[in-house]
Amino acid sequence: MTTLDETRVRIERLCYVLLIFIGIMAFRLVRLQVLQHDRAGRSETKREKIVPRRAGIYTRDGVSLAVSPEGVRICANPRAVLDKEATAQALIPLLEMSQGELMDALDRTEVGGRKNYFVKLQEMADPETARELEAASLQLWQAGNTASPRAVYGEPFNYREYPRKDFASQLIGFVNCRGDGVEGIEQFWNDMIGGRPGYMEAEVDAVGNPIPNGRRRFFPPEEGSHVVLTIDDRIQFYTEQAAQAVVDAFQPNWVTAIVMNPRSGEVLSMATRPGFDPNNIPERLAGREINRAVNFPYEPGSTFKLVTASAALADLPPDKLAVKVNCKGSIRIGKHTIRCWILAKEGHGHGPQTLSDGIKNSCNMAMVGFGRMLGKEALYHYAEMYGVGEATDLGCPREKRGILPDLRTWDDARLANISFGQGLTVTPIQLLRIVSTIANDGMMMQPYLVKEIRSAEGETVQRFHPKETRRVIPEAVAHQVGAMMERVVAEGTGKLASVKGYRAAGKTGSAEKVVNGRYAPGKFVSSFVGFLPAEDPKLAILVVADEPKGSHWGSVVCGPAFAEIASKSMMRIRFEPTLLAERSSTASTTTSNSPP
Amino acid sequence: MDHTWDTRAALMSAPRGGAAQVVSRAKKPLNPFDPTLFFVTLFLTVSGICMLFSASYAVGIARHQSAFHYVWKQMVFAGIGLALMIACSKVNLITVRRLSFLLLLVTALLLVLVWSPFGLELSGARRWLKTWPFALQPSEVAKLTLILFIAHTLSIRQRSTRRMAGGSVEWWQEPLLRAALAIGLIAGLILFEPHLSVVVMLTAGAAVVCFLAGIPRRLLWAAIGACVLVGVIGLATAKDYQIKRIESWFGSALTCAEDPEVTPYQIIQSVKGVRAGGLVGVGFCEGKQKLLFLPSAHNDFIFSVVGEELGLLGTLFTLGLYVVILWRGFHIAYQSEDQFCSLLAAGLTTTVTLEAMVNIGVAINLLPTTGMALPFISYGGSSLIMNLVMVGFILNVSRHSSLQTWRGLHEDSARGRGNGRAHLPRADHRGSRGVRQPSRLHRVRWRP
Repeated sequence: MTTLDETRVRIERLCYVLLIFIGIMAFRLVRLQVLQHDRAGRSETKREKIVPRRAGIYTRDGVSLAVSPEGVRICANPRAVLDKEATAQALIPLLEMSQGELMDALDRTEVGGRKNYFVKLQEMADPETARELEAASLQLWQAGNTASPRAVYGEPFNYREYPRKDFASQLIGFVNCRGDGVEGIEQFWNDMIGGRPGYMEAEVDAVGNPIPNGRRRFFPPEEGSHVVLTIDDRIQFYTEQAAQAVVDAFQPNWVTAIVMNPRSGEVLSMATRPGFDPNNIPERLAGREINRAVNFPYEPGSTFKLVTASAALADLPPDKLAVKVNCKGSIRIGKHTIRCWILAKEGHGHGPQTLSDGIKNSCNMAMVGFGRMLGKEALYHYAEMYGVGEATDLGCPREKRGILPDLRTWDDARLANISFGQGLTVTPIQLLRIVSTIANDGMMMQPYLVKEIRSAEGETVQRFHPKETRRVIPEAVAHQVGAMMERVVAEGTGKLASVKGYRAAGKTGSAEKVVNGRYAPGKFVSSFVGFLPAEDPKLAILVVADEPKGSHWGSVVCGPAFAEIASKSMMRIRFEPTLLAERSSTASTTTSNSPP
Repeated sequence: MDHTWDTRAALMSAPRGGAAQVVSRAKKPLNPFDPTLFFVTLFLTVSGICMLFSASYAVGIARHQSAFHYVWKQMVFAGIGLALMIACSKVNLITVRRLSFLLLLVTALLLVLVWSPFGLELSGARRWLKTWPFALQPSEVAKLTLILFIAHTLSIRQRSTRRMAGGSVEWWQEPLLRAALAIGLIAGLILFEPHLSVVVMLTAGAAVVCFLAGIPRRLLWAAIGACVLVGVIGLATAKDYQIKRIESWFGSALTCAEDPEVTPYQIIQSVKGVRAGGLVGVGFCEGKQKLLFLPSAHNDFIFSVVGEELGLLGTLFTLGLYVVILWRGFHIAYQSEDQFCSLLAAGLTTTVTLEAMVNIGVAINLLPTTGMALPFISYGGSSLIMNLVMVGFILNVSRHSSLQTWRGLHEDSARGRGNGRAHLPRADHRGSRGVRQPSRLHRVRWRP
């Protein structure tokens, strides 16, 4: 056999070996492509959220409280950056960040084990800078330093601005970093204001660029709607001012003041001081109950005597109503001793008190007496009717309901306590609702904060109207209670709250404060609540101060604030003073027809 | 008796002038080259450019801002390569054989030059020479020149024959030793670059030539034994992670399921693409894996793009084309009357097809990961041109080989130039066409 023959034999054998290997490969291909075809997995898609521009929040007279200016933020796709050094070099002069920070940002190609296509480089850039950056990004791409012309880009972003800063800040609330409302009106109406985000879904390549011929789905965003509040810009301002004055004078923890139209239930102002600037939210405020007007239940104290009084007027027969309760300064019920405030101040009781005197002097003993005459069922019934323990559904997040103790737990001591406002809790807005009911002739109105919803184009899409909740007391009883309240301001504990030129009705309150389950000595919640003008109430006003220093009397701490808010607000709603002799009654009625 | 005319005779027997005479005489009656091999290669190259467009536009846009960046370059390479292929199918193999040692030395020189300032270092390896207009990869050239030299040296008559012929034989004239030295030299130089996968391919190609040249069985067994021994020693000294990687590869090769912990990223992506293709594929240019998910989709893993876009039909067809090249190449080698020609054709065919098989095997996770271009399809100038040149040499051999063709040529010599093609009659410098003598090159074996 020649070598050539041997070569031919071996060529044949080699050929077989190679063909066997090729056969294995063909078999493998069939297995992969046919049998395991469904194991391939889906292609990568990227879902991009398209956030619609957040709508505004306005006062009833059209003043912006929260707006969303057009903003651009600078973002980068770290997976598209091939040469980090060169990219950082080109971008540093245009950005407000250090080389190290930028390099760190560009290093975040993976977050939590998932591919990361997005880092935020700078907030609130001006559009000019964004354009320059995009031009730089294009150059970087052309130079081969990035894999995409949009490795660095400016993206329109929903910024939120509160032009009035700490004005009504607790009421309006604020948004978080993602632009979702997390507090106040911003949270409660988040879906309405924020609209519905749209989505752009696209198949992407490995660096996150959409594939030109890939699958794409587009869900358009829904624009948000503007919320117009019932808040009156001026009245809110006066309220804030007056509340701040109380804060300055008495250093309470906080002061809340609310002004409401008792006829309609519209909240005209709602202020809590000290406030904060929602443009620059302190971390501690996020998720906290900041709007004291709706989420601070406290023992109302003397202001609650109005409920006892109206219950007595409505339920007690005339002979019992005519009874004078003798206030000796203290009374012993079971093992508890209940004291009247006057005992500590002047060393003796009020003496014999009618119901009206009891309200005027804020006499605890009188209230205890009438409360015992009423009985616990009747008092419970009226407290319930007045909405104690029932949320007002005002339209604020985290509203508290307060506590009306279950009737089965009422004993004599509790009945006595509750008759002058201790032993149960209400929120400021609940208390104002009670007083508004009295002002509105016994008809409880649903308090509300939003006047109307306007579409992004400015057309009114929804209007909110006053809504009657229920009749609590007959009209005559309401007028009687109103008259008693008028006496409080005119001659009783609330003289400091008298409003020049108007007949105001009110009630003071200086409640002992419960801290950790027991009454804390020296800690009070002072309040003054009232309405005016007494003959035809236009405004109901509440001022509450938590733990004021120096004085704890509701009249001293909150009375002047009430008077200031009342007088300025009455001017605002163009309701002329009724007690001025020169003014004819016709003149006043013609101008009074338009409550805000 | 040895009826085979071999190119060695031309080299040995005649002085230079004489050899030239043989060449000029041998020129005339050559066959046309093998059309099947030619057209399959042409088809692979042209359709490869189409496939390359699909595979490379994404990376082209990302890195060079042009979807056609790689395609244009590849088209130029293909033009050069096809021209060289035809040229190489026409050159005189005797001249080539005479120059084979020189070519080997030039290759070695080029491999040394990568360490000079002309060399180009990319990601820690010096594999390229800065030559205009594209970087040359000397290791690709080495594949051809090494096989040329080994085929040459192994088809030199054995020592005993030489001694009987009265020649003196030095130890260094032992063909196998010379072949081994050549392999060692080239493989060592490439290993130094480093470019391990080419070393393996090169050694495999050279080993195949040695095997085909008829090295004794015991030597063959010894070589296999040595390989096994090296393998065992390698396994015994391997580190834990290496063992784990081998185990993982072995497991996934058998079960056809990748372990994402150990399987390299590009293999996972490659197999994902192949699977996604299914029976008929997602459609030309519709693949998603090449969109920067699959690293080097335009060269090492282009087969995965074929699999994804053209499906099982496409992959089997591509595989079939390489089988055709294998079949034609081995057929040509088988039919060759000359040891050198036979070894050359078989060696080159093996190199081309083995490279394709390794590439495909890696892409479908049948073989451990290596960086190997898919011949004729992958992007890469040196690779494409050198593969076309290799086919050119196989085609060259085919012109000397076919028994049938020669017989037909001989019998139908009255018909024009005997290649079965119509042509214009022309003045033959040797005078009448009909009296052409069969050349010694084409003497057939069965004629006593």
